[in-house]
Amino acid sequence: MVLAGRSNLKVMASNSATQLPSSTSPALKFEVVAAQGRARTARMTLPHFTAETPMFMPVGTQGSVKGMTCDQMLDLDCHVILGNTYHLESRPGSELVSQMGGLHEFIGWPRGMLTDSGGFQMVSLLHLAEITEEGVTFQSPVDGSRMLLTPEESIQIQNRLGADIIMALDDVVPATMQDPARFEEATHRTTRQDPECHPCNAYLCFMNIIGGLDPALREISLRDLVARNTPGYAIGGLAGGESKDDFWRMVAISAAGLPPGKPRYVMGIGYPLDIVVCSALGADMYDSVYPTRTARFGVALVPEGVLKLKNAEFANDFRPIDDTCSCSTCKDYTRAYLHNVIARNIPSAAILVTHHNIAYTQALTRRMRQAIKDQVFPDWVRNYLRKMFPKGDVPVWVREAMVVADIDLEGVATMDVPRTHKEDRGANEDAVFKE
Amino acid sequence: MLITNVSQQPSPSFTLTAKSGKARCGTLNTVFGGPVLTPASLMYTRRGVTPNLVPDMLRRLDPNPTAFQVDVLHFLSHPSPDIIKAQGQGARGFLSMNGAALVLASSRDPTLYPFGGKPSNDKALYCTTNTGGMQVSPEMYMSVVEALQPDLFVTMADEITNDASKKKSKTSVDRTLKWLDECLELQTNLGHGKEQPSHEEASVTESASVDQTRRSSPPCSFVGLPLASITGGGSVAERERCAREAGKREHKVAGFSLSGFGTGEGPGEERQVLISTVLSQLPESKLRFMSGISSPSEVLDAVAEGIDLFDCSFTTAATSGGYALSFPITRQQQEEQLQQQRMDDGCGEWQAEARIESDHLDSSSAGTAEDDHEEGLKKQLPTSLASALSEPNSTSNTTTALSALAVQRIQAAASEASQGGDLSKVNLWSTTHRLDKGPLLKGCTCFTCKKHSRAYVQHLLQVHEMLAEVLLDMHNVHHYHSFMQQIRASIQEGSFEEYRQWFKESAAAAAAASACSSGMTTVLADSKENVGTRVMAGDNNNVSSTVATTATTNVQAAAIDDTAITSPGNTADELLTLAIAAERPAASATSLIDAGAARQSPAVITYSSASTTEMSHNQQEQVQETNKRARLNDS
Repeated sequence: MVLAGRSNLKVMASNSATQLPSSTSPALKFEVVAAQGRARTARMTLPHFTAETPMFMPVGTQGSVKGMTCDQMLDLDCHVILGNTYHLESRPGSELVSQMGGLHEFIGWPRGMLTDSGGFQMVSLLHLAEITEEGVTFQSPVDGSRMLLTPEESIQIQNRLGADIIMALDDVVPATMQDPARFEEATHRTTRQDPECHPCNAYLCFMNIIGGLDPALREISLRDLVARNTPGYAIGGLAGGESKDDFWRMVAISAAGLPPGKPRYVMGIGYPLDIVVCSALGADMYDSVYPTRTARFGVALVPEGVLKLKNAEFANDFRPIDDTCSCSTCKDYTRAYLHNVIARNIPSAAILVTHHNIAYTQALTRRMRQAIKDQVFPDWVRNYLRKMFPKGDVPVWVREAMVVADIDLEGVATMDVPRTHKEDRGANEDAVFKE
Repeated sequence: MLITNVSQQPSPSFTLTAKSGKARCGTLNTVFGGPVLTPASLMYTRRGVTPNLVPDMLRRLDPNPTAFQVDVLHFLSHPSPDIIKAQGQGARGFLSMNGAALVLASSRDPTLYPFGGKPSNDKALYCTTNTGGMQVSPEMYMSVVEALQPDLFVTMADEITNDASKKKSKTSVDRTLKWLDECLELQTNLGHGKEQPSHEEASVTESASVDQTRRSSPPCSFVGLPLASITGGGSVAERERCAREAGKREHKVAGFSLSGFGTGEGPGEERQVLISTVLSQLPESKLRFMSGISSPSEVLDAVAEGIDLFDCSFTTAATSGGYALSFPITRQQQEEQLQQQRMDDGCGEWQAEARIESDHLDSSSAGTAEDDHEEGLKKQLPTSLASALSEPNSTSNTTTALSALAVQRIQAAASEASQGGDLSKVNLWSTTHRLDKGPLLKGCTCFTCKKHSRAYVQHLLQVHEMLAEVLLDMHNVHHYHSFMQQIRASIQEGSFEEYRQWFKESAAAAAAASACSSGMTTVLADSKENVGTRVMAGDNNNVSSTVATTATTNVQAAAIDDTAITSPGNTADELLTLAIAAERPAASATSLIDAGAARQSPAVITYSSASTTEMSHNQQEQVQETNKRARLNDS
C-alpha cells in the first residue's frame, strides 16, 4: 500500500562520503552506491530484480521487445524492460494477463518490469484520444471500442499487469505546444491525479513531473509532487520534439529539485548522447523505443554516432558494426552483409541490428556506472564526447549542460560551433508526434 | 557406430552406414565440418540467413541444425559475388556459417515457385532477382559458387514443371547436361576443382572453428563439390536419360540433385516412379539431394527410395501460417498425445460429449437411436473409413468395431478442427488458446515449449509481433529435426518401412478422423436445421479429397467416397465451388501476408512466403478452416 509505504519511508540525504542517500519503501529500495558531481550510480532493489542505475530500459510495448526472446534479453544484461499499459490493455487485456499470472509470467521475463501509465499515448495517439478532467478516452484502432483511462483505472490496470514499477497517470501535453493555459491545466491536473487513494500493493508508484517547458510550471509540479513523497519520480512531458536547449534545462531543474535518495526516471530518452547528458545531470533511468526501432530501419548505434547500414558505403565494409562490441551480431556479421539484408524484409536482419543496439545501450550504461564507481566520470564523459565529436564540434547544448554538471570540456569541445536550429528554444513546435 | 573419431581429420567423404530396404543412412564429412548424418534436412535460408532465427537462437536448438542450404541466385547482385570474394571467406565467413557442418548451394528457393517467368535459352538461365529479371550464364553461376565456397553445390539446371511438354522436357535435359559439363569445366578451370585442402589447412580450420575464433577463413582454394542436376519434368524417359548421362560423370561429382520436384506431380505412385527411375541409373555410393518437397510424408516416401538430403522449407511454411507442428513422431508420443487430449477434455465430460454427439448423429440420420455411442458412430461410417480410423496394425476386428483409440482420435481431431488445426499442427491464431498456459505441444522439449505458453504466442500473432514467428520457428525446426532423427534411427534399426507405414497410416487415420469430426461438428452446429450427417460428412470429404489435388498421405481418405455415403450431386458441386473459392485466398496468401498488410507500423517487418509447398500431410483442409481464415483475413 502506498499509504503504508509512505509511513515507512525513510529518506536519508547526505552529501558526506560515508553516508550516501538512500530510501526504502515496501517494494523498492534505492541506495546510491557512488556519486560524482551530480551523477550517481545506485542499486535499486525491486520485487523481481536488483537493478543498477543509470540504466536504460528497452521497450516491449505489447509484451515483447520486438523480435527478441527473453533469453536474449537476459544475455544482453537488461535489468528492467517496459510494457505499455494502453497497448496491453487493448490486447490482450490486463484481465487476461492477470489470469495468466501477471506480465512476468505471461511473457516469461524474470527480471524487473515497468509499465507506463498510458499517458504518453495521449500524445502519440492524440487523434484517438479525448482528454477530460475524469481521464482520457481512447478509441481502439482495432475494433473501434472506447477505453476510458482514469487515474484510478490506470493504476488498477497496472496492478493487474503486475509490474515492479507502475506510473501514475499524468496529463501529457506535447512539449512543443504553444498554449500556456493548456500546460497550466495539465500541471494542476497531474497533481490532482495523485494516486494517494489507490492501492498499489507491493509495487511502487512513480509520479510524473509535468509542466512543459515553462520552468515556473515545472517548479509548481515539482513542489507539489515532492510533497507527496512517492517512492520515485519521473520527469515526463519531455522527448516530444522540444529543443535540446529546453530539454536539458528541464532535466537539470527537475533532477536538482528532487530528493537525492529517490530514483529519477526521464521518460522517452533513448539517444545515447541524451542518456549521457541526463546521467551527468543526475538522472537514473531511461526508456525509449529509439534503439530498437531505429535498428529495424537499419541504423546501428556506435560510439561514433550511428551507422545507417542501408547506405552504399557499407557494401564493401567488412568490419563488424562496432569493434568494441561483444554482442553476437558484431561477432558474427560484417557491415557489408547487414547492408545487403537489412532492406530486404527479412525479420532476422532486423533482429540482428536490434540485438546490437540493445547491447550497445546496455554497455553504455554499464560503463557509466563503472566510471562513477571509479570516480572517473568526467574523464569518461570527455572520452565519450571525443569519440563522438572527433573534430571537437560538441553541440552548444551539451557544452552548456556540462557546465551545469560541472564537467570541464577543455580539450574536447575545441571547435566553435553555431547554435543549431534544433537547439533554439521553441524551435520544433511543428514536430510530429509519433509513438 | 556413427560416432566418428574427433581426432580424425575430416576429409570430404560420404559413407553409407546402414540400409533398410532402399532407405539408407550415411555419414557426410565436409572439408570444414561434419559429420552430417543423413537422411538430413538442410536449414532454409533467405539471403544466407534463416528468416526468423538469428545464429544465437539457432545455437539454442537441440538438435542443433548444422546443415544449411543457400540459394546461388540470391547472390547474383546485392551482394555481388565480387563483394563476397573480396572478403574471401565464402559463405562461412560472409554469412556467418562458421559452425556449419555443411553448406549446400542450390539454385531454387524451395519456398518459391519460380516457374512461369520467361523461358531460359541454351546459353543462360532466366531468373528473377530483387532487381528484376536476369539471364544467368554458367559462368555467372559458377562465379557465385566460387565466391560462396560451399561444401556442395548443385550444378545449374533448367528446371521445369511436371506438366511440361515432351519437347520442353527434352530441351531441359539437353540444357541441364550441357550446363553440367560447363559447370564442371569451369570448376576445374578455377584451378581448384580437384584440389583438396591439405591436411594442414584442414586442421587449422578445424581448430579455429573449435576455438570459435572470429571468422576463421576456409582455405581459399576450395570451390565446393558438385552435385549434378537431374531434370526432365514428369517424363520418365527424359528423367532416365538425364540420370544416365549424369551418371556417366560419376567420378567428377560428389552426388546428384533431383531437381524440379514438387511441381505438380502426384505425390504417390507418380513421383515414386520418377524417383526410382532416376536413382536406378545412379551409383549407390553418391549423395542424393532433393529440393522442392519437404512435408513429412513426402520426405518419408523419398527416403524410402534412397534420397539423402532435403530442404526444410516445410517448417518455414508452417511458421508463416501461424502453425505449430504437432504430428506424432513416435508411436509412444502419439499415444501420449491422445491420452493427454482425453485427460484435458476430462474423461467424464468427454464421454458425455461423445454421447451427445452420437445422439445427434442418430437423430439426424434415419437410423434408430443406439445406446452405445461407439455403435452409434460406427453406424454412420462406411467400412473403409472405419478401417482407416482404426488402430494401424491392430489385429482386432477393425472393420466392424471402432477402437477406443479411433474415437479418441476423432475427438481430438474435432477439437483441433474447431481451432483451425488438425492432428498434425496446431493453429496458434485460434483465439481458443487465449488462456492456454500449456506449451505449443505437450511433452516437447524445445525452447518455446519449455519457456512459453500457447497464450503468449497467440497474443504475439494477434498483435503482429515478430517474436511470434521466432518462437514458432524454434518449435517447428526442433520438431522437424526430431522427425529426421527418428527416420535415421529407424533405418539404423532396420525398421524404416514399419515406421513409414505406421506414420502414414496414423496420418491417414488422423486425416480421416478430421474428416469425420468435421462431419460431426457440422451436425452439431446445424442440428437445428436438421442437416443430415451423411450428406454433410460426405460433402466435406468429397470436397477435401477433390480440392487437395496433391492428396498424398491418405489414400484411404479417397475411399471415404464410399457408397454408404451418398451425396446429392448439386449440393456437392456447390460446396466444391465454395470450397475452392474459399481455399484460394487462404492458399495463395498465407495469413501472414494478409496480416502483414494490416500492419500499420512500417517498423514491423513482414515477409511473404508465396509458398506453394502443400502441407500434404494436412491436406484435409477443412472448409471450416478456410472460411475461418477468410474471415480472419477480412477483419
